[in-house]
Amino acid sequence: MTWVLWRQHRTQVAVLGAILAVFAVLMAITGNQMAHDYEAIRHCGDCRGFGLTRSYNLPRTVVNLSVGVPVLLGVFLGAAMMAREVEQATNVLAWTQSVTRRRWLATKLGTVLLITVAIAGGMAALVTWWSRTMNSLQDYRFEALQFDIQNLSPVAYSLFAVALGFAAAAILRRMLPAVGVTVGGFFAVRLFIELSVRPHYAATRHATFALFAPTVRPRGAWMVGTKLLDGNGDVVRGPLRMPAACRAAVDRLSADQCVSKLGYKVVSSFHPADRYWPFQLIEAGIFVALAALLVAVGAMVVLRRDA
Amino acid sequence: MTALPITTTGLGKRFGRTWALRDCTFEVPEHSLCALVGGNGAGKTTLLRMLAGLSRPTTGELEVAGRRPADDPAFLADVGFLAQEIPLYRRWTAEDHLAFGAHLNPRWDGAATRDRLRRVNIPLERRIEALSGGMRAQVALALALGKRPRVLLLDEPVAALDPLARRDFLGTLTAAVADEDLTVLLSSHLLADLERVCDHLVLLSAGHLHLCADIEEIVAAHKVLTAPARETAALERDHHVIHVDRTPRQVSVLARMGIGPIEDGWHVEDVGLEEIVLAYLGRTESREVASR
Repeated sequence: MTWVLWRQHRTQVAVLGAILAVFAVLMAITGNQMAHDYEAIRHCGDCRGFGLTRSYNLPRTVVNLSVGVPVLLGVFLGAAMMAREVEQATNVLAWTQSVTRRRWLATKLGTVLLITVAIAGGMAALVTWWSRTMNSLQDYRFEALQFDIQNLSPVAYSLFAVALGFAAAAILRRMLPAVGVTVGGFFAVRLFIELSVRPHYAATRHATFALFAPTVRPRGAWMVGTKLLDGNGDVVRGPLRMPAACRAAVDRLSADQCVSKLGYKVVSSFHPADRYWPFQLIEAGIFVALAALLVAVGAMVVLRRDA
Repeated sequence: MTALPITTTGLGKRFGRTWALRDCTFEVPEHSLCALVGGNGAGKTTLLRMLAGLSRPTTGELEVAGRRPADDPAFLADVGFLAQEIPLYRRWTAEDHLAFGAHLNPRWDGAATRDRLRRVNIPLERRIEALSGGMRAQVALALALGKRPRVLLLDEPVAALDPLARRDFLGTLTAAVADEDLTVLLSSHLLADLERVCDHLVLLSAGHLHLCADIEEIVAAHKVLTAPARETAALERDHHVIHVDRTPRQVSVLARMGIGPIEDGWHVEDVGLEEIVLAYLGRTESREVASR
């Protein structure tokens, strides 16, 4: 069985391994250069990081694109592992050898999930390692995109995507519809969790700022949102309309001062940096649980349905 | 005594509201090469897939090689199956498929399988997608025989093959049945081929079983009776009339002969298997038309 799976998946493993290797080389070279540059400028006070981010735009874009790795694995490993077999009827060939369907499925799922963890884990480790300079400069790793490509969450997303691809292919039995469901379903769930669920893993903290004062981002925090409050503490929706008391102001500056005096202020809500790891664990837990559910559903369909 | 290779009782399979196979009861004797015939949609594939354990019956019982089909290594080892599509891994070589068979089957006979493929000149190092249809069928058959099943189920394996490839395929099959403890159930539309290699026949039509017997017995039991135009009522009383062909001058009857006497005036002739099968298939068709 192990030989069969190796024979079936060796091309995929080779291609994915090659991509990972190329990525590793790029990360190693630019990551080290960037760390070196950072050492050179870190003692110059206010200029920290200034210019550094700009000269690493290309590798940075590549790193950010790794947000798409999970969905690629979902299509090329998850959906392909079932849909290709069913489309070519080779599942019938496999299920009429002397190995039970249950064992065939368990070994296949085990192998594919293992490859997923290896590739996604390798990718996440490289991205996390490469981002260490950026992390220490600006500490944006809690913000939306960086949170999604470093440490645990990308591996959990990948498991989810592969499980989704497998379940979709098991139910739909054809590659193209399964790919559609995998891509669409993955982005729908990811966006929903990121925009509507993740901010509520814990109650946000708030910081209040005067209307035209610069808002300060606590170091390493995830800024969830800001809102404008008027003098009574009510939220101002839409564009700020000039309060009646300040309409007489002659120029921009005096108008600003007038509004500030009325008690208008800006409140930002954020999650402090020390919540990074709990949030990573919750996020990963949710996606691993979803993956387990999808694997169970897909396996039940494969084992129960007539071939 | 070992169990019969194939027994079914009241076997039925429904897809949605349509019965693909209904009330099917038959046995296949040991060491036979049994033909499964029937028109398109008669339920042949449905029957074979249930026997192979790939799908579950809606009603009835079945046993293959003494076991109910189940997700169980002992059952799977005893039953070989070759699907209509001749599924193989397109990008693998024949050699890869031999390794596949060896890894997944405890009773795998590598030497005999290699020998079988060499005899029909299959290039083992070439990818399946580069082989002809006949060669693919030979690889798939070798794979199915290589696991040394007790019962081998073949779903129209020769349908797409040219006459020469067909002859080679059936040659490999008959040689295997002669050499080993093997029973084969083979579905096909090619009656001439079946008559040449098979010794037993199962006839399905529109989801129902019509015949299951030794081919020689079937041929011996059926006769064509001809006479100048006359009634067939008396004949139908004592014999099982399958098909009546009536012209203004003459009536011709194909019947399975019962034990009763034949009235005077009928001219009795032997009839070939092909005509018998066509008479059965035609009968259900005309009935269906009549009932619509």
